[in-house]
Amino acid sequence: MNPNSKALLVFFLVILSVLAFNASGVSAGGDDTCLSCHGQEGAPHYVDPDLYSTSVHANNGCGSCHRDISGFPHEAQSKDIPIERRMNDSCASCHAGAAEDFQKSIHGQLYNKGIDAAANCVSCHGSHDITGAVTKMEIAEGCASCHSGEPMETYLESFHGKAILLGSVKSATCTDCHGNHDITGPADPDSRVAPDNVPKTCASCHGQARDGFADGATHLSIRPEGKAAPVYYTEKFFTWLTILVITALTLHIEIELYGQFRRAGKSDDRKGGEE
Amino acid sequence: MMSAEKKYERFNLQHRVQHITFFTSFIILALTGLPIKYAGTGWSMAIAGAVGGGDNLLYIHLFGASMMIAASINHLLYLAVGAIVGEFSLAVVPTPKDFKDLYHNISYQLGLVKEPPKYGRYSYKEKFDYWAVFWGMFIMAGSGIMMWFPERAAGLFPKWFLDAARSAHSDEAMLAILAIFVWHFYNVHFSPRVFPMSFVWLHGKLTRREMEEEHPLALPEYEETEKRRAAREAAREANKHMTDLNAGRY
Repeated sequence: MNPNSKALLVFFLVILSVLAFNASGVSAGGDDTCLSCHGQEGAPHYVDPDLYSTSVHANNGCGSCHRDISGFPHEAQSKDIPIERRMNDSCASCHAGAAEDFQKSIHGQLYNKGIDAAANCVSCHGSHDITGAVTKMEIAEGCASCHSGEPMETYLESFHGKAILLGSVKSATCTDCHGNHDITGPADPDSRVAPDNVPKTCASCHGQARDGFADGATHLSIRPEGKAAPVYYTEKFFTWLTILVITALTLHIEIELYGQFRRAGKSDDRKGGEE
Repeated sequence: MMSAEKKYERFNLQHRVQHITFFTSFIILALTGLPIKYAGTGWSMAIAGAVGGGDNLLYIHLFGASMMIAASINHLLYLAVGAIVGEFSLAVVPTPKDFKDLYHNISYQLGLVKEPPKYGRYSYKEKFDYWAVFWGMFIMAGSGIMMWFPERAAGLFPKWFLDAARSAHSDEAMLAILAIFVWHFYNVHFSPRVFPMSFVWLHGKLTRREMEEEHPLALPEYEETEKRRAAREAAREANKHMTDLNAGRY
């Protein structure tokens, strides 16, 4: 490439970026039009303009996601297709890679079977308030909005979960083990959490893939059977040891205090009371 | 007058440094470990926030752990060196007399017998404390090191074993914290005999009267130690004198 054509390239790049900037300016004007109705509190499909302005898509324009709406006034959308379904296709038009991975995931498989409750793009990422970086705790809370109960409870009892709860930025959250867009359950042999793949998944943070990582339950619910039994009986042992030892020690203290009190009342023997 | 009373050295500098290192690390470990055990509660979040988050909390915990393990290894080395130079003592090993002393003491406290039991260098209470820490260190350091180095640990043990070890760490910690802050603190702080505090941990000395009351059977042993020490010092003096004499310094 000679210096002249290089300069020409830079020139065109500058022009292009100016045009791109202008284009986003135009759609921001379009957003104002949309928000003049939908930005009014109480309006149908209300969008908080302040919240939307903080999202990573704030400059994309309403029409970039709401592709089937044009002109004003526009017709009401059919309720036959949930809005999330329309959105998934819109997301895919920019985020093709993620959308492709999503098709492989358990969420995508269920979604494609027509189950509207299956997680789609906006169920995890949100919509008008979508932001880039979220904390590991926010990721876990997002998963827990469906997978509450045992999965979340056992996670928060785990070493990883406690660390995240206390504000660790290093410890593992749900997606660090389970993956995200292509997430599948342990029954799928390609899954990160399939028993054969667990050592490798652990090794993505823990250096070496050890078979020992897989030999036990990960979301451990403490029960007297199966892989949780050793934990269950360890806890039982220490609970009773603690109860017995501390009761005995407290009793011993009480007896000594009684002895001190009794002897202090006698004028001829004040041993212990006057020291 | 206190100062005029004869004193015996109960804990030498090594003993006192070992104890101070141990309780300092114990307090650090309790303050940083409890928020992990009870993660998610308001106060645990406040402590984690105060040190800059969960990762820092764990680093401070590991610092305390290193300190406690160092104190324990130092203690074992101290015992080993003691064995080599011939000053090894088995005084802390439990004997049938300890069980008799326990029975005797309870009878005495309840007013069933007139005289309290006579203890040797360590009473059964002190022996209990020592062995509670001894056993506790194996549980705590063993399970703690497994959590500290999970890759190594998973190479040696299955996960269910590591999970059980983690439970043991948390549960034994609770037992230790209760034992220290209820039992040990009663014995050395809150008991009317010593309130607000026994200072033996700091100066290591017991007076003649304290010795007669708490460790009468060990008096001859302590007298012997003091005599040996005095003899050693006299010999050193004499040696110095001879050296000076030979060097013609007089």
